[in-house]
Amino acid sequence: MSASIVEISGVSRSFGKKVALDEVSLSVPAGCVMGLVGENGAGKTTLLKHVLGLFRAQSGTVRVFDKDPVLDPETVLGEIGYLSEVRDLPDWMKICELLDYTRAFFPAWDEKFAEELREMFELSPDQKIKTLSRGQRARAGLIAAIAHRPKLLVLDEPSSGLDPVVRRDILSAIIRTVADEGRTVLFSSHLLDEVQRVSDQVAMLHLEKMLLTSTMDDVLTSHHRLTVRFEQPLEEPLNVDGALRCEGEGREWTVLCNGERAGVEERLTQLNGEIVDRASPSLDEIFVARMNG
Amino acid sequence: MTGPVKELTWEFIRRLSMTVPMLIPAMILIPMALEGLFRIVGLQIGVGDIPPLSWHCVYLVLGFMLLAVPLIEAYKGVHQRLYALPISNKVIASWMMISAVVTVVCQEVLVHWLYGFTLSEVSYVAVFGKYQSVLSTCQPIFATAVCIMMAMFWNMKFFRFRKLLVCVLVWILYISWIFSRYFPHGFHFPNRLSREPEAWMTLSVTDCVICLSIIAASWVVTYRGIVRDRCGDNVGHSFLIRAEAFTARLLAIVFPDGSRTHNSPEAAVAWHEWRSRGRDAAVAGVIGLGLLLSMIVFMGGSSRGRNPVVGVMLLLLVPGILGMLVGSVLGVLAPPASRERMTNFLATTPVSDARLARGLLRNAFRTTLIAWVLVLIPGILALVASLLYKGTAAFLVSVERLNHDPDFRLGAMTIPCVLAVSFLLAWTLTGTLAVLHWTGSRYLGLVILVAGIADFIMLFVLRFTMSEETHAIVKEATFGIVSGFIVIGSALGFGAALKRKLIEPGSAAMLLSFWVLEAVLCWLHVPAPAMHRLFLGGILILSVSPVALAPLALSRNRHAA
Repeated sequence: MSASIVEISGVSRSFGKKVALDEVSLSVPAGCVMGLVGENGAGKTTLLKHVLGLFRAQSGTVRVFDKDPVLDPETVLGEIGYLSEVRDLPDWMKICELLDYTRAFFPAWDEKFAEELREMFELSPDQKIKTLSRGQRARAGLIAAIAHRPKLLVLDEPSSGLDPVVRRDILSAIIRTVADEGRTVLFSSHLLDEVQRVSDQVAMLHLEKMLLTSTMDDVLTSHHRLTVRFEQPLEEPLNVDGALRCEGEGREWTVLCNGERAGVEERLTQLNGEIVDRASPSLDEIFVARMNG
Repeated sequence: MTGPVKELTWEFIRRLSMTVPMLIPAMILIPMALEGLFRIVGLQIGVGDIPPLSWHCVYLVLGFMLLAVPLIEAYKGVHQRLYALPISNKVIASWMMISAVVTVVCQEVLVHWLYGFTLSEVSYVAVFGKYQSVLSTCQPIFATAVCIMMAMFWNMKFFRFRKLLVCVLVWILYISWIFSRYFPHGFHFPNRLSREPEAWMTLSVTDCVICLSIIAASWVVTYRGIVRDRCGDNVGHSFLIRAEAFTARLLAIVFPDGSRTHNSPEAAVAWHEWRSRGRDAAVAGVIGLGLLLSMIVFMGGSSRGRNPVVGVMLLLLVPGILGMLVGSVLGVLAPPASRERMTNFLATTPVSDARLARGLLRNAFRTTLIAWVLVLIPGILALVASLLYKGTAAFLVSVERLNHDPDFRLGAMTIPCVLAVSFLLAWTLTGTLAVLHWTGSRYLGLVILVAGIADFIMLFVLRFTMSEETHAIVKEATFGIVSGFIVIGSALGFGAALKRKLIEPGSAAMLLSFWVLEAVLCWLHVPAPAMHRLFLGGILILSVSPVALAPLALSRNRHAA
């Protein structure tokens, strides 16, 4: 990993009395795929809009390619490919018009690549956007976002409401392809299994704050899932110091912890529990444990 | 009430709630606006000025356009709620027809009642005469027309060309029947000063039979359309879809896109805006507003040329305001830009705020220019018609007098100057409105409008509380403050735009020079007191300030400051 493409430092943003981001910092190294996760309203879209220069930081700084995206949108956006959760492509445009229009802004537009993608996605050049299905719109938006081979691809909930085939197109084919070319991807998603599958790094937003930023491997290996069996069914919910989450009923419980595995195991043993299984949790389990913790 | 009956009743209430709030302001404002325009040019409607029933026809058409609104719901998916109810197609058809007829007839009575408030007494008598019972034949007209329209809408949802021909034929026959009853002696008025409406005061037995036959035939056709639509046969065959495709092809011929390769990002942005709104708006606007203008010019084209200034004012104001309406209200504000915040699609285009502003301004200017020209054409045609029909036209008489007016000192340049100022007015209004809209602020425009109105109200109220001399001073001071505020605000805008490098210093100098030129011409040629000319010269800065203020407004919107 080399220098950061995106450097966000202590950014805060409020809408009236509602705080959307509170002192959030994030660094996206060049060439990585970073997944941004968080519950609804955590501030993912707001953060991405700061990266795109669509919001001016009320406090803190945002640098993309070492430039301020608000002051220099032409340079910054010229190196970014963006696909929004809200697919607000103009309904009246045809696919060919969309591509012609987009091409005007990007000197590095790769006509051949755009045509390859269009054929791969089975989109007719004369189709109007309003006649496209949700998945087709996502694909059309994707072509416009990546055909100029951007240095940074920003995807805001790209697979929201899409079927598995389109999700595969976006996440597996595109994100990995872009990343394999040494480019950087920053994307937000609710589908944590997909984030886990394609991301090198993960950033977790919770209640407008950055809860966790790390490599995916570190996140997964630093968390542990312990399955505990007690001699007698527990009458009260299990509560163990150092555990992020305890779930279960009766004799068998699942405990999720991070870092302090030894200490948690010791405390469970003191409660007459027997550790029957030790495993790495999925990102989904970590997310739920962290959000509720 | 049982379930379906209750649902149908609610549906009827929904229908009323959708149309009545729209109807009342339109019916109050439109006659007031028309009568106001006539008063401006000194063509107050008086008894004998207008052929009996001609104004009535205008109002009836306006009313009818609004009454047709419920029928449009055939295309709005309202029927999907009805289709989900456990009722037969016959019940649906009958309910639709009965509720439409009842709504239309009741609304027509309401419309006429509203004219009593909106028209002055003189105009009301001039329009309707003392024979208000003429309305008794209007209800059957509306009731039958609404039935034909309903049958047409529901069947055009499954489009065939022969259906279109049948529809045209039916309407020709229907309108011929109406005209034959209203104008049994042909379409002319033997005695122009007569206050007696020509005919058709009461329904004959034949009239009743014809009306009932129309309603019965319409019911059958509507029922068939509903049967076909409820089982999904109409999907993808809508007349509107065909009509839209046809219009798009027509527009592509009238306004060819040319090469698809955009020369620059600004050109691409301008093309996007033009295709999103401007092109359709220009054409749509000219159909409605051009016809309205023609009507006004034609009816005002009497040979009694009055005050030359007011005559020219009309020629200035009407195309100017209508051009602005089309250019800005439709061309800049129309959906999808009607949302306050800029769309992600536009906001994430990799262009600077200055280039984005140039692209949007280019479209706003182009739309205004085309709309202005398109609105002017029917106006000129109406003037020619007025000349042929009545021998002369008030506006030409006004212009002729103005040519010799020593105060204006324009001579042969009168008409070019009037046209130039008319366009400048359209552009100034468009540009100012566009900048306000592009700030993305929901309330800014409203605040300015309210502040402007409050100014006038304040001046009006003060008139009764102080002497005439004091009031004149207050009035001058208010105009001075408003004018000064506009000049200072614009100057600050230019300064900020220059500081943020959103506008080139050379462009700013050129624009400000243009403004100075305008102000000097205004000082030399406007026959008004010196102070007024000074204020007017200040306000003219609004014709150039959008160029500096647009990038600032867009920057605020784009980056959600």
